[in-house]
Amino acid sequence: MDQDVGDVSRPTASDRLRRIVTILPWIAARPGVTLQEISQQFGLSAEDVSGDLEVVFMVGVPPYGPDDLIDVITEGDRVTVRLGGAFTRPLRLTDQELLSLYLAVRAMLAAGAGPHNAVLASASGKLATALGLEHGERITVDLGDADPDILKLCRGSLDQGTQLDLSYYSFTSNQERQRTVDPKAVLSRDGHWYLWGWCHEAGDDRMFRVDRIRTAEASDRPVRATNVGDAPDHRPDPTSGATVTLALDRSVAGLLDEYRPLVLDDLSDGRAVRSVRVGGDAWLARLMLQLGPYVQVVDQPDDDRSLTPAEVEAIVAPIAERVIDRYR
Amino acid sequence: MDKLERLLNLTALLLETSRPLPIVEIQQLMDGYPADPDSFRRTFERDKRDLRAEGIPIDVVQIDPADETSLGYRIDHASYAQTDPGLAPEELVALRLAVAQLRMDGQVGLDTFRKLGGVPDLGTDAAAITRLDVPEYLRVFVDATRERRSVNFEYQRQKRRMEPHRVDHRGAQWYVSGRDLDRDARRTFRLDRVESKPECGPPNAFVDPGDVPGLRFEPWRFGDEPEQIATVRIDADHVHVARGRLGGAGEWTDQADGSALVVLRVTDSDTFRDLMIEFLDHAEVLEPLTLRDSVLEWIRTSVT
Repeated sequence: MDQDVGDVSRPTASDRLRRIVTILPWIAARPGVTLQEISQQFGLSAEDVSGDLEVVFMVGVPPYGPDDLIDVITEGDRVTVRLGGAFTRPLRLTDQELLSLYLAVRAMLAAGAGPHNAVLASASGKLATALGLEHGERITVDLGDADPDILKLCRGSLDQGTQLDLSYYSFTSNQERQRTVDPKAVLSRDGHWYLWGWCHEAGDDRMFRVDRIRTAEASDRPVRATNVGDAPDHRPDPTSGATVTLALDRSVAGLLDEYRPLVLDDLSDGRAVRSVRVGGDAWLARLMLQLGPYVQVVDQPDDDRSLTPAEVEAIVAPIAERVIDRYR
Repeated sequence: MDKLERLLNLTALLLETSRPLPIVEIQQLMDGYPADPDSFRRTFERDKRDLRAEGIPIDVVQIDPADETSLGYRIDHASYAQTDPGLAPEELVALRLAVAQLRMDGQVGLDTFRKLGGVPDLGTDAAAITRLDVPEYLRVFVDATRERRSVNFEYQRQKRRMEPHRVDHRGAQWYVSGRDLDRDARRTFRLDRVESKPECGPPNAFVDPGDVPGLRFEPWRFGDEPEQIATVRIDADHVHVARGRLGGAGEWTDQADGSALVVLRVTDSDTFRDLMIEFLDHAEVLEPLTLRDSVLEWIRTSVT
């Protein structure tokens, strides 16, 4: 660590170096530019810009005579910088920066979300060339599968501030229901598109997976005015609602990680014990049936939220019976 | 002299020198370095490291062909400055918006846009739609794909060797697919499970694989069992959900009653069974009977 570390808000020598070598060529190419124009162009305060120019004034090459130093001429608010041979062109983007920009463009194009698709497509070509990639070659970015028409309807209603009527399959209850939604955002989470909005039936905000919307109909009814704020986590809150405590073989314990389990002490036979928030009856049935012989429900008499083995059985057995019936 | 000034002066000196400069000469020419040889050396090494960390390419060149210890330093103008990608102002605005909407601030910062000539502030129009991470080793795999280099790496505590054919982001994960050289089979690897820096072989090590299909996200095909062709019936009211779940995988045939038949290639029957359980009573394995019976048998034993 360097001596610059201390006050976290103060930029380090490296931070300022990076800034100076990137803004200097632009300033030098514009004699008489105002401090205000520079700060606006680069999103810096006027103090930052003046501070940087004071340092630049001392920079040059040996033997550091007047002709060897960078010339900074200030007239009122106007600045003229004359460089020697160094710093006439901006420092190159790192490979990581270039690749990240390219992937950002590819992701937005794949999402089809922006109003700037033509602009993005031309930027994508230029960045691919700079990276030495042929445009679109063997690299794809996918933010989620969804019916493009339904996605478009969701985005359209969001932009217009109108309500949307859905037939929506709930994975947790294994049922399709009609929903009326005031859209608040269209988001991608863990590789799936979600419509986030106020659900009139639930009387609460809900995340709807777009690929589980069977039909969507735009309405001309305006949404209720709401404060949008930040989108919630799309997974159920682990701190409320019923839970189930499971003993599992260590080899499969990791399968529960995506449900943010509470890790309890291992059993004496070495099995792992996890407590997870129950996402719904169908959710619980899928989990129990998938893990099958690798899982056992642990009774937690002191925990009101934790389902007993009998309660779990009462939920899972009828659902399993329906599946078995299907095969008869 | 403060550190920032010294770093800028060192950069200017190494950019403007017409020949590689030996370290002793740098000490003599520049103000601001300590006179004591040891502390000079330490300070110089740290400066060099800091400059490189900022992407400033300092070359080390052997000056005297007969003397391996005669090293000189300089910065090559061409690799210091960028080949301007030539982005138009409106393209920069769209890029800035994309980076904000994808929460990529950790990888692409204000400095990135300053290098491209700066870009005005965004309004409030940049609500995040997701978070796109660019993992450390992604670039290595992208380059190896393009240059057709084989790649070695540690994966889940095993050494793996592969010819990478394509790189895909799907389900919030990065994958590299290609030919596994030890198994002589097509394999897909998750980049977040690559545990060592990938080592690349020489370029043009394999024949261009031609038009490689996109990553098919079908984990039931990632196993080593002999392939079974499974036919699954999906109920009419569940077809859209199942299509969403399969994301374009499988061969679909719509039936007159609105239901659908989907044919899947299975080499991992456990994962296939998990998929069928996900569909609960909305779907049914029709063929082969062995697969149908094993799904049914598993569910039966799970509830008793």
